This record gives sequence, structure tokens and C-alpha cells, in this order.
Amino acid sequence: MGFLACAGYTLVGAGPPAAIFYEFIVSSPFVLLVSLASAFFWVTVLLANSVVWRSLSWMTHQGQTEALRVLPLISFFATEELLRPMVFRQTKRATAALERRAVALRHPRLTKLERVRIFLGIGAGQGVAHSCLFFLNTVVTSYRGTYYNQDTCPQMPYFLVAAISTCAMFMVLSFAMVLTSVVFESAQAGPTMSTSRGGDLRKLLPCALHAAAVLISFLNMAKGGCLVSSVLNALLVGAVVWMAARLVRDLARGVQ
Amino acid sequence: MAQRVSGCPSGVRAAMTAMVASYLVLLSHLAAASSAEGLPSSPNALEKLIVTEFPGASACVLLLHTKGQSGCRGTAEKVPLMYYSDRVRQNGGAGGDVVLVVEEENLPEFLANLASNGSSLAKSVKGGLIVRGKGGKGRPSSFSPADVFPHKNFAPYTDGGYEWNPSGLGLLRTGRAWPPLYVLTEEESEAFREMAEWNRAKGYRYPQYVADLTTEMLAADQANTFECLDKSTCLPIGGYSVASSLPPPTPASASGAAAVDDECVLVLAQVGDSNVFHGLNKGAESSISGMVAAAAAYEAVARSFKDRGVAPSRRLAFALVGSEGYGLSGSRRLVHDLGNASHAIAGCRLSQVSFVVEVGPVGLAAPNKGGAREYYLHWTPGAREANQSIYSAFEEAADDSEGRAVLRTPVGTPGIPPSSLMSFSNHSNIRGLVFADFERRVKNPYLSSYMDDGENYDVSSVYIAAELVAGALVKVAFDGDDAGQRIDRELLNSTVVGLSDCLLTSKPGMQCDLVQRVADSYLTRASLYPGIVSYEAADDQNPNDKTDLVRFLWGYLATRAAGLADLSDVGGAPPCDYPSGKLKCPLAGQVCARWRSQESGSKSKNGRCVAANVQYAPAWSHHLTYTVGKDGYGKWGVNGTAGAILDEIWTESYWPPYTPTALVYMKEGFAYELGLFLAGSALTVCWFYAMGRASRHIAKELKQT
Repeated sequence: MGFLACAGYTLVGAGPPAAIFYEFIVSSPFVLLVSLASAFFWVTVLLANSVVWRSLSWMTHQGQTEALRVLPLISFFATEELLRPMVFRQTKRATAALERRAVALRHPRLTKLERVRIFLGIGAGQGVAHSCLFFLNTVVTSYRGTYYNQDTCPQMPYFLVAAISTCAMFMVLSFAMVLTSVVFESAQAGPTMSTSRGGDLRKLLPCALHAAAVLISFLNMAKGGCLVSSVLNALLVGAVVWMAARLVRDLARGVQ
Repeated sequence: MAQRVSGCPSGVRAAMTAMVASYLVLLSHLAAASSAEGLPSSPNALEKLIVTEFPGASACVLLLHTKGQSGCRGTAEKVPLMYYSDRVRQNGGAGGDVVLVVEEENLPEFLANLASNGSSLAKSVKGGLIVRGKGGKGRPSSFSPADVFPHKNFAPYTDGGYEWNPSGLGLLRTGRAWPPLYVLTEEESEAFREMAEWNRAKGYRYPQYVADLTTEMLAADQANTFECLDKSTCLPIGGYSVASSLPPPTPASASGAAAVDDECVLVLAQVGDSNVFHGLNKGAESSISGMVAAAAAYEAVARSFKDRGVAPSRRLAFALVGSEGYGLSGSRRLVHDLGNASHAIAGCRLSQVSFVVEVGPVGLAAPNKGGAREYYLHWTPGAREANQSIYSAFEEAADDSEGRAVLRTPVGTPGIPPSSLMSFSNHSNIRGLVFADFERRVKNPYLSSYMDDGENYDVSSVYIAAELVAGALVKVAFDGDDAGQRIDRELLNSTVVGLSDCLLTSKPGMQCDLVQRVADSYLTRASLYPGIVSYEAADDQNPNDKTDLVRFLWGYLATRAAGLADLSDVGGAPPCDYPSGKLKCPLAGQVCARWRSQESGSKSKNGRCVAANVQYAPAWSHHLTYTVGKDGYGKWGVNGTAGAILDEIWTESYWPPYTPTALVYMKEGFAYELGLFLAGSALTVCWFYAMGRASRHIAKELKQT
């Protein structure tokens, strides 16, 4: 019966991401390539972070274990957000180069939605990196048995909390990258766009979304917080889907 | 539309502030005292948190004897855990499959229940995990799987109903074996109790802890020793006795064999008892106490002989008899071998043996009102009257103890207690006595159980007994011609304490100085299990197939035989290669004993030539035969049938690798797992469908604009 549980948790945590991946990324070979490259990139970023923290673990003191659990997570978040503008610029340059090539070969230019799809691929790659490092490597252990963390979460199995959390994080990261393409672009676009002050604030939107997901995951460390965090994660997924639908509708209609 | 996002409208800002504030409030409400235990940092750490193994636990394995099986066999997979006390309360034990968590104080009741015919508990119990309290707390007042009259079949008198061991449960020689049983260590028990408590708190419903117990035994289908030896699914329990006589031979004269017909007094002590739990074979009170007293007395007597300088009129042949917990196997083999007139034990033939002194259990003699410890001499019929000199020797030794010991003769017993001496009952001309700390009932509440350990053992009682025995034996050897010599009490004390530390503790255990000087052993806790005998060795004096304990006893007896004033003087003896090699001992009457000298480096040889008449003697039944087939493979068989043989001939089943093991982990119920799987599948299918719809919708929208 361990197989049923393991498959169940994997489906909850990786099923919806798989649906997104399949429908929007796998269908275009270029986007798939970009997405996988992105996944490798973000895995490297996360692993480099882990190496630094592991080497610093000798500094653990008895009373500071709480802070030290949180600090690596904050550092992951900070690194990823600091790299976001760079990723945006590089992707823009790459797609511009691709477009020039396409035009040279007399193919049509990229549409706005296709450009958004590329960024979705980048974001999905980031989500896949998170899934692999924080969920998929441990969900296999659910085959042996289940685990309830007695101190912080005796109400829900650890794997279920992790699955819901991973699914939400994937959605958030994918959409945050899509949002990046819109808000970072608009800051550079012409006078029909918003004032620079509004633009700068909007640049923080992807960061805020990511931050929301991270803060929800911190709730897991509190006693009984896992129930709240799971509900909030589910709501967050819903919110992300709604925002994505609106954005795509606006883009499709050519409205900013 | 340009002004739509000219800045965050105040409403949005207010909403954001409210959200952050409520988040912080929520977090502070939920943050309780957090633990130091963090989230698992890797899949391996997570696996360790989920699955608990018990590497230190002692398992019960399958043994067979001539009339049935004994011990445990079987497997249990994903069986829920339940406290024994809770199970018995519900329906008197009936119910679904369960692995019971048994507290030590319930252990006798649990095993008796398991063994009784028609027990409703026995049908549904798939295994048992026995938890221990700290420092021996929580033990039942008695737990003895032995019979009420142990070794009744070998008793030289007919009163088989006499209760030497009233708390005996009679569980050693059963018909069918039990489901897997494990005894956890004290540390494992502490952690494990939390898991059992979780199950109890959940009312024994999922999610709960379940156990995987593997005690697969290859001889599970065979009914007894005859069948399993025939099918080669088991091997006989072997073991060796070690014997040595005092005074040691003087090397020059050994070849001359001057005093070939001198009288011998045989001194016996048992080495190890039997146990349901394989790895916990000790028998501290039942066997080690007597063995330590006899071994310490051996050393003191050897010293006394050396100081006296004159050879005594009687020789003392000490025999530390192995495998006695398995139907008195060692002593019965010894007596059978002595039946051959030319066979000698430590240089004494049966015709030379005039008396047998057995040092029985001596570890629980409590001080009486006057502060003296009471010991009893159990005589064979007519022995006391026929051997007045021996009786007076013991009485004088008791007087010499300055009030520490007092000797009594038991009243109201049918004869000698269960002991190795019973094996001599066929030779009615051999008289003997058993020296013990009990009169009518065995003092040991934990006879033949794992609870007969260091907690059930009083070193002072053993020391005083050793003093008495040593003093008496010197007088017996010189047959009353006492030059008033004294036993070296300090030496005796340090040896008794040292041997007890080596054999009954895990620190220093077998790594103690006493053992390491004369034997090679990597063990910490001494193992008294005799082990199996896989083939009949051509040379039974070769130490390579002997257990660490037996090799140590041989080395101890060999190096103490000469009674040297300072043991380190053995280092000065002629070197030799141990156990065999180019450099041998030149003189007859010398043996090469293992000696670890203080000087390091390969220059010093690993053995020294000492004068001693020490030997190994096999302890398994003479009915066992080993034949080598045409294919070169050997096979054990039994010469005789179940009806004709009195020997119990114990064997141990083969088992596959990674057996026995016990694993405990938490599992969800089938309903939850199925629900989870269906929910996950439904979620995934819905998302695939929804994303497909979305994609088509977007494409349609694109076409429209």
C-alpha cells in the first residue's frame, strides 16, 4: 500500500504543475528547451546557496536554531529575487536574437503571447527546480511510511503539507516570471505606459508574490500552522490562476 | 488607462497593511515553544525519522530438540502495534492481527498465554516487542521459562513432582515455536515507548505505527532435531568444556608419569545457561556465579600448592562444563567419554575419581541475622557419611572465614538439586556434593531467563563462597594434612571482582585486562552462547573453532596453574607460537598459552610455554555423528531414535541473511491512501482538462483579435 500513498502525494504535488508544463511548454520545442535550461540554472543557484549554508553550519548555537532554520530559506528567496532582473534582461536579449533570426528567415515575428509563453517556461523551470530539490527527492520516502512532525504538525502528514506547498510554489514562480515579463517591460516602454514611480512599484509585484508564498511556508514552523498554511496555499493557487487569466485576457485584447 | 496604475490606490495600500498585520498576529498566536528538532535536511534524514530499526535488540530464534521446536519463527508485515495490557482488556485477547508491545512485568503472563492451548490471544498475535525499564526497573518479581523441576529427566531420584523452581513456566522445551519476539535495549525502549503511546492515544486506529518483523527460519517446517538434521536445515548446538588439574605436571616427570593412579577429586562448575533470547545468554546467578567462584578458587588453590611446595595426596581436576542449559549436554558428554576406561579429563580417569564437588549457584546468599552468609551442601545419598574428611574440610573452611560464612545441610529435599552432578547418577560409586546458596528452593527468580544478569548477582556472596570453596579444596587435597596455610584473600577478591566485571558488564566487558592478557577477543559483552558445531574437527584442541569465552577460560586455567606469585612472570617463560607454528613447547607437560605481553612490537612471540594439564572437551551429545559424503560434504546425523535417547540434542535452525530484523514505521489506513490517490488523480485530470480548455480558449481569442 505504500505505492498508493507515494503516487497520491506525487500527483497532488506535481500533477497540476505537470498539466501546465504539458499544455504550455512541452507543445513548443523552443519553450521546452528554454524551460529546461532555466531549471538547470535555478537548481545551480539553489545548490550554491545550500553549499554556503552547509559550510556555515558549524556556527550553530543551541538557542539560535530557530533563526538558522529560517535564514537559508530567506537567502534562497533573496538570491532568486536579486537574479530576477538579470534573468529578464538575458531572456529579452535571447528572444530578440531569436526574432532577428526568424525575420532573416522570413518567419513571422513572435506574438506577445508567445513571448509570455517563453517567460512562463522560465518560471516553470524555476518551479521544477524547487519541486525537485524540496519535494520530489523526499516524496519517494513516503513509500516506506508516513511522518507526522510531533511538535509542529501532528494534524497533517508531512508529505501532504509538502505536496500542497510545492504545488503552490510552482504556480507562484511560474506566474511571477510571466508577471516579470509584463511589469519589467512596461517600465521601459513608451509614454503610453505608466509613470516611472508606478512602474517601479509594479516591478516589485513578482517579488511580493514570491514573498507571500515564502511567508506562508514559514507558518509551517509554528504549532498547528501547517493547517493554516495548506489552506492559504490552496487559496494562493486560486489567486494566481485568477490573476493569470486576467493578464492573458488583457494581453490577448491588446490592453496593458 | 494610463492613470489606472499611477500609484497604489489608498484602498490597496490599506488592504496590504491589514494583511501584513494580520499575518503577524496569526504567526504570533500559532508560534508555541518550538523544538530544536528541525525539518529533515535530506531524504536520508527523513527516512531515519520515518523508519525505526532496532539494531541492538535481541531476537528469539528457532531451536529444535529431540521432541519438538523451541523459540520463534515467522514473519509479520505491516502489523499494527498494541500494548499487551490493552489487548487483554479488549475481548480477553481476541481480535485482528497485532504485534504486541509487552512491558517486562507482563512478560511471564504473556508467554504463558502464548504457549497455552486454545488461547484466543495466540491466534492473532503475529509478534512481540518487549520493552525494558531503565536500570532493571519494572521487572516482574519472577520470570523463569525453565521447568518447575529443571532437568527432571536426569534426576537420580523418583520424586519428579518436587518444585525446585516454583516460578518455572516450563516454556523451554515446547512443541511448536512462537511468532517473532524481540527484546529491545533500554535506550531503544525509551524511544519506542513513544510510538506505542501514540498508537494508544489514537485508540489503535490509523494512522498508527506498524511493525515489520522478519524471523524467517529454514527449519520452520521440521518438527524436531531428527528431521532438521536429515534435511540439513539446522546444525547442532556444540560448545566445549574446559578442564585443568592441579597441581600442574612438572615437565620433566610428565613423560615418566610417576603418579598415574593418584586419587582425583573432580570440581565442576557450569558455564552459561540457556535462554529464549539468543543474544542474552548469561545466567549470572545460575551459572556464572559458580563458575567465577570455582575459577577464582582454582587460582588461589594453585598459589597455595606452590607456596606449600609439596604435592598433595589428592589431585583436583577442575572442569568448567559448557552447554549445560541444553539438557545437561556438557556433563552428560563428559560422563559418557569417561566411561571409556582409558579416557581422561585433565589427566584423571574415571577410576581415579573418588568424589565430585560441584560449585553451583552462589550469587544470592543473603546475610543472616548474625551477618553470616548461609551456604548449603547438597550430598548424594550416603556421601556425607562415607566422606567425613571432605565434610570436615568444608566445616573447617567455614570456621576459617571468621563468621562471614556458615554451612548448613539441607533438610526436606529429595536429593541433589538440578546440577551437572546429576549426570553422574549412573555411576553410583561416584559420590558428590553440590555447594549452593539455596536449601529447598532455588533462590534465583529468573532462572534461564535474560533477567538473570548483573542485577541478579551479589559479588560479595560469590567472593565469600569462593573463599570457602578454595579453603575447603586445599584441605581436601592434602586430606587433613593441613600445614595451616591460608588462602590469599586479596588475590581471590580481585579475581572474583575482575571476572564478574568481564563477564557481566559491557564496559569493560571482554575488553578487560583479565581477558585480554590471555585471549584475543573483540567482543564487549561476553557471550555465553555455546554456538553451533558445523563440522567435527580432527583436532579438538585447536582453539580456532572455540568461542571467545571458552578460549579465555582455557588461557586463564593454563596461566594460573603454576600458582605464580606475580602473573606477569608468565612473560618470562619460554616463548612459543600460539596456537601453532614453528616454535613449539619443547617439554612434555607444557602447553602454549596465549600471552599478551606489555612490550609491544612483533619481536615478542604471542604465546608462552606454561606447565598445565589443560584441555578442551566437546560438550555435544555423543549420539551426534558426522559423516562426510562422497561429494565431500559433511552431514550431521543422530545415532538412535527419539524413544531410545534421553539426551535432548539441541540444534539451531539456519536462517537467511538480514534475519532476524525488526522495523517500525507509521502507516496510514487503506481508506486514506486510496482517497489520497484518487484525489490526486482527480486533481491532475481536472488540471489537464482545464489547461487544455484554457489553451484552446486563448487560441480562439487570438484568432478573433
